[in-house]
Amino acid sequence: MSSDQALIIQFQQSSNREAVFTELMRKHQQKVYYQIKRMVLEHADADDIAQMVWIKVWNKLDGFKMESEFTTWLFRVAYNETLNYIQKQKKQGSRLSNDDLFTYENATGSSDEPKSTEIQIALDRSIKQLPEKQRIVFMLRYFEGYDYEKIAGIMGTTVGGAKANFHQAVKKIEKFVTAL
Amino acid sequence: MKLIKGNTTLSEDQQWVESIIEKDQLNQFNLTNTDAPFNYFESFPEKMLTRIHSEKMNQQKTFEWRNLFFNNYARMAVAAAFITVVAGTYLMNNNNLKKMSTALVSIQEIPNDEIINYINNNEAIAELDIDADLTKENTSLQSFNENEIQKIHQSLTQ
Repeated sequence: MSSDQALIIQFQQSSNREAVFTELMRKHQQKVYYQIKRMVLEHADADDIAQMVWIKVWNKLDGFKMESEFTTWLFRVAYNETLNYIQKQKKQGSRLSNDDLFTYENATGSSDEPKSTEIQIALDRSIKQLPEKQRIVFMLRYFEGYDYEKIAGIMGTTVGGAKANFHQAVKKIEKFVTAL
Repeated sequence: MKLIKGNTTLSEDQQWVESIIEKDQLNQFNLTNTDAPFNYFESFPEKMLTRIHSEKMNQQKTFEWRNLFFNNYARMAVAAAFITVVAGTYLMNNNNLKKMSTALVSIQEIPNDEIINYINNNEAIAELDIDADLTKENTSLQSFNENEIQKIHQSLTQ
């Protein structure tokens, strides 16, 4: 498989841009989608945002100067698009409120279920309740295993800021889970 | 496990999280939040290329319409500006001519017959004019002819 840099140069020079772009999409689409999905949680929303991200990448890739890693830039585009989308949804008031989520979870989990399911629901709920920045840092650090430099690059923040967000996220999850 | 302050490695951070929640539960959470519908990733690139094509077509159409609109708009704007300048100049000249013609007509140029006709048809106005003349400062009787003096006398004695 070609490196990202080679593919981008091909895209910028080649007349067969669609084939090169398809290869780039095939290589990174899953990670982009998962990053978005962890923030918005719904497939329909994640799909909409993923499409907007790849359209933006298509439009901006000609001007990409390889000053940063392609994936850092790509995930940053995804992160910004997702934040914009969430803010628009919040303005329109169409997102599920935390109360709605709680009602949904109560409805799906009965009281005689084992303790592990309760913890599972609590974990789900505690992560969903985190502010977007803390949630994405937690996801990128724990599940994706990114270093703080990369996370800071994606989120347009400092390494210290990313570390602080991770620390606060874990503390909040701990508080939520131990309260059970 | 307590949080290790300062520079923590990835494994230290992960261990810290796993000391709070079991790894299996974290993995389960990850699975449920990173699933996608069947065949979603297989069809996604094709769907994206179709959308990029249609976006490009739309952009081109918008661009063409914009060009067409602005070309016509620019032409209309030039024509409108030209008409405004011509009309403005005409109106300004016309007003000046009117003012000049008003200024040039003096009482001497009006024929006597017309003045007499006017006075005969508007006696009340003529009287008012005389009254007004009388109330003016520095008005002397020499400025009136005999008929006018008699008229004034009659009006005073009535």
